[in-house]
Amino acid sequence: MRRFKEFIIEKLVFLSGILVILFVCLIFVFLLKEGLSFFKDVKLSAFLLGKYWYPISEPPRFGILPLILGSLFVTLGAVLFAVPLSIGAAFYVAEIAPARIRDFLKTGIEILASIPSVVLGFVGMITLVPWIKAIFHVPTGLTALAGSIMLGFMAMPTIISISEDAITAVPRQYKEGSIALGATRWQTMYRVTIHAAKPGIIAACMLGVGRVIGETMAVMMITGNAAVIPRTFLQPVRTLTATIAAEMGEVVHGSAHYHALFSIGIILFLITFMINITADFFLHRVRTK
Amino acid sequence: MKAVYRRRKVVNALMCAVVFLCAFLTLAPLISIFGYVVSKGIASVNFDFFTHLPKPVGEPGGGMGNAIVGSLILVGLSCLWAIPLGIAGGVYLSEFGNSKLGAAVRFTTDVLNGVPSIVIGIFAYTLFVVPMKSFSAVSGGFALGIIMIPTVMRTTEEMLRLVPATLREAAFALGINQFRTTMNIVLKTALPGVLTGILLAIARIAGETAPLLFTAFGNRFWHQGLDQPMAALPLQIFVYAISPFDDWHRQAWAGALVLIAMVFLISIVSRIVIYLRYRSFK
Repeated sequence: MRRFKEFIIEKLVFLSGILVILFVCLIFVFLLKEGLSFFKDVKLSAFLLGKYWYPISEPPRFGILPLILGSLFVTLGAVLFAVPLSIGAAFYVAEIAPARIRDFLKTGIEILASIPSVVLGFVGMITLVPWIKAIFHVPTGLTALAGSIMLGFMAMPTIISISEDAITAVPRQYKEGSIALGATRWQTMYRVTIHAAKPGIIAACMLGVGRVIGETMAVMMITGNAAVIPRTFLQPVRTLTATIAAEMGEVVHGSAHYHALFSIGIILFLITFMINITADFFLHRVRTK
Repeated sequence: MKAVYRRRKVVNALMCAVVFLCAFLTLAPLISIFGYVVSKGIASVNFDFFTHLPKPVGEPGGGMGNAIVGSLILVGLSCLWAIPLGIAGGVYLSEFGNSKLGAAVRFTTDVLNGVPSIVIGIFAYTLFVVPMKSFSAVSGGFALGIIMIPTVMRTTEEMLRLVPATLREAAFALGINQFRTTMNIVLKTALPGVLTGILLAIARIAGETAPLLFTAFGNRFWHQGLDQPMAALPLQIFVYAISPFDDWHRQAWAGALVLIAMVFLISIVSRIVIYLRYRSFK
């Protein structure tokens, strides 16, 4: 009897491992099932490169180029300022801060990472958006810039925390060797440590980017949601995620619009899948070294 | 020579300052966001907020009692199925995870962790909402559960690996088979760590909004059954935040404060647990 029970539980443990693979496959299959029938009516190139997203006009137009560019603009802006700041901060936490402050900072950063995005979006809407409007004299503060700034802050804890692990994992001998040769602390960080920690830092940035691209609530609240091709950061944009979030609730089940939203889901899934593969590749290099 | 030394020292001091500034620039805004929410929300958090239903536009007062209860139910529902699955998956990864299949499971867990929550939302939508023809608490619990699984699995795995090999070996030496060793000794020893993973996952899903938009959907009334739309705190905050009414904004700030307080509390408790437990291992 006992044997039998053990056998059952062991199989269950095995099964739950497999179940995760099954879930990821199921997600993808369901997205494909709902999304692919869209391409019977609309060509892939017209979908990806179409300049107009008018899903409920007559005839409807389903071009997601403005949405892709919207996501890219917001992500690019967030990366441009979050990555250097985060790497700097990670170096401070790992190499310069005294031990006691380091523990405090590490915990603080990880706790700040759990601020819900809807709260960040709300704060951004009330504070950041009017500031942008006043500073840049633009008609509305709901812009790609606002989204970039808020999402940058959202990505920072992720990037700092993983980069910091990578920097701490660099063997002490490397740093000591460099210091022994007479290099200053900065030269050691800049010439030695960062190279040794590079794969981990790149993986950290990739995961940060993944978080930004997949973010929905904050961007929906502060980027203005205008589906036009952006030319500058001071224009309203609409991202892939915000489009699904805003339109899924009202769409007619089974319509072309419904299938188009699932096709956007496929694209999002593929983008984050690629990002994760790359991050995994770099993290794996850290482990095997 | 002297000039070179001086330059190196100056550059060193300067760059150390820059790096410090980076840390300051990342942390200060995040902390001030937290402070801002506290200062805005504290005035509107009162007893009514936790016990009353939202009032229609124009009537002052009311609360988000239904949303708080709804969030608790949704989180409870997702824990119900995602925690056993996550722990079992973690056990699989740590005990049998060195095979090719184990590597594949580990990789897909990372992929699942990276899938945008909105995509998981539309997945739950096709799986539950479309066949049931109604938004429901169950579909929300399902979506949140999927988001939980990778966190629970990976922390369980890491915590099981932290258990000293000597414990395992002692169990084997006493003639206990691998399965019982894992379940009764390794898992028991690692339990506080596993608990931490669960708490972190709960903190993460408690604030999730996007996947609930078209699964749990929101509801202006108290709980009406698991197959009906259900209110959730983050959803309610979102709806109130984008509304043009000052009254609703005040409620949204109060909601944001309660949500942040809950999430922070969970993360802080989990860290204290892990600190107390693993202090001795270091």
